[in-house]
Amino acid sequence: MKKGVFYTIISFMIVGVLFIFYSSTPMETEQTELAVVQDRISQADTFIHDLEHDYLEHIVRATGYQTLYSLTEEMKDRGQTGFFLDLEETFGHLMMTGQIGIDDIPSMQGKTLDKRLLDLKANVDETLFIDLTYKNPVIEVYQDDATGPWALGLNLTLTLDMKTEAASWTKTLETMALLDISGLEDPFFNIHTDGNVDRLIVPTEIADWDSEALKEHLDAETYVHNERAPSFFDRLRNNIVPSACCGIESMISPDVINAGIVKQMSYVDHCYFSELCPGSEPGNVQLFNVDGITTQNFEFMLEPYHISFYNISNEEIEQVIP
Amino acid sequence: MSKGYFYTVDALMAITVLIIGLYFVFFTTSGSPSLQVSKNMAEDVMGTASSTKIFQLNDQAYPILRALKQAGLVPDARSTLLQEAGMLYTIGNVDEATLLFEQTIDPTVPEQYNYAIIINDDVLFERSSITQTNADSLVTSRRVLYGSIDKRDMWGPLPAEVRVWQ
Repeated sequence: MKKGVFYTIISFMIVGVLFIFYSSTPMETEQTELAVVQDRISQADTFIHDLEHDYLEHIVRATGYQTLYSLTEEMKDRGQTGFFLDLEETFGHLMMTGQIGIDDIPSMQGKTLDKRLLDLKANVDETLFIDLTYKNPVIEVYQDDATGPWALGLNLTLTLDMKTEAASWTKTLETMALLDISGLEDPFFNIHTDGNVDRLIVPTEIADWDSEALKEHLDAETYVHNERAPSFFDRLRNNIVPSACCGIESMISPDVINAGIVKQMSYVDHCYFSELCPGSEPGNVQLFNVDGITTQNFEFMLEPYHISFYNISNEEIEQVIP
Repeated sequence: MSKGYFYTVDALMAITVLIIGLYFVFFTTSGSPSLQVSKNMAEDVMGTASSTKIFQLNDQAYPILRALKQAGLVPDARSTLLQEAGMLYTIGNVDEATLLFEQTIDPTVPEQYNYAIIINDDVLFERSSITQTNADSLVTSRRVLYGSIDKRDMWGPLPAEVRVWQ
């Protein structure tokens, strides 16, 4: 046999071996596995982005509203002992665990932050193959210039650990949500009237005040921002202090008087219930009836600061003689 | 030059060409082209459904959106199409969710693709000429869905999936 044929056969054998090597399944499998890992990391990245920019805010806002609702209902049930001086701590604990102290609050069951995060964990584990755990949650509730008088600010900070088979992330996320208080119940009214009067917080649209506007405000049971009134946050604590950013007040309406809560005091809610009025000395509050509002059955009165605030003229008032 | 050397050089050249060819085939692509295209399509459909917000769409062009708004079934116009469908699914309005995908997503997907949009393991919309079991390739894109029903209540989380097969 010629040497050339021998070399040609060897060459074909080498090419054959190479074909078998490169077309073997393990390589395809490795490539497929790599693509799957890449896909999962990509989907995990998308999930983290959604979580950070959308989902946590949804959770914080919905759970915050539920907590606020449960808290005000609980305050009403507890009556005069229902104000929470440690409101921030109570709110955070209730939002996280559904408990006030060690008492389970039924309306929070299945709607706590912990439950919603655990639901999320179970879902992403099954759907995206991500092992998600959270730790060090910190909840802050507040009102300030940024929230204004008609919203509560709610901040959640927590650390998330996320693991997939090929990568892991640890991120500390901060989420802020504004809770609009319009339409919520003001427990301050209910508690101070021994559960007889409920009032919802509805901001007034009146901007220019006079006695007619005040009558409209009184009849509609609306609220107005006043920097010398307590904020909604302080009302939940029965802390009657002026709040420049967020003070709100409403008027005592006939249903309060009909409930037997009768006082010789200015008919601005925080003044009436606390007997402390801006610009007046405690126990020495000058009071004035207002024409067109005060009647025989409804002895509406205001003290000097609020007469000025609501732009009532001197011709429309008459001093109350004690 | 003897014939032996000629054959040897020829064989070595052939091997070199084959090695270069195999290198390009196996190391310069991440998979078969059809699989990659399907994967891109699944991501595109999922991306469109999960990023297009209701308020970005013109009611006049999509009768289902007009009907949903009239029926009070769009609680938040900032919701994405996928979130709106998830909400409809949660409250039992599956037919409306199907119509929503049919009118908004389906016209954007080229006809040669077989695909399905699935929420919580239920197929809400499917367009296919072959079954998934007879397909040569099948790829998925997944998300976790959630949203608000009102101020205090949320729906979800629910798994959402787009499957594309050929």
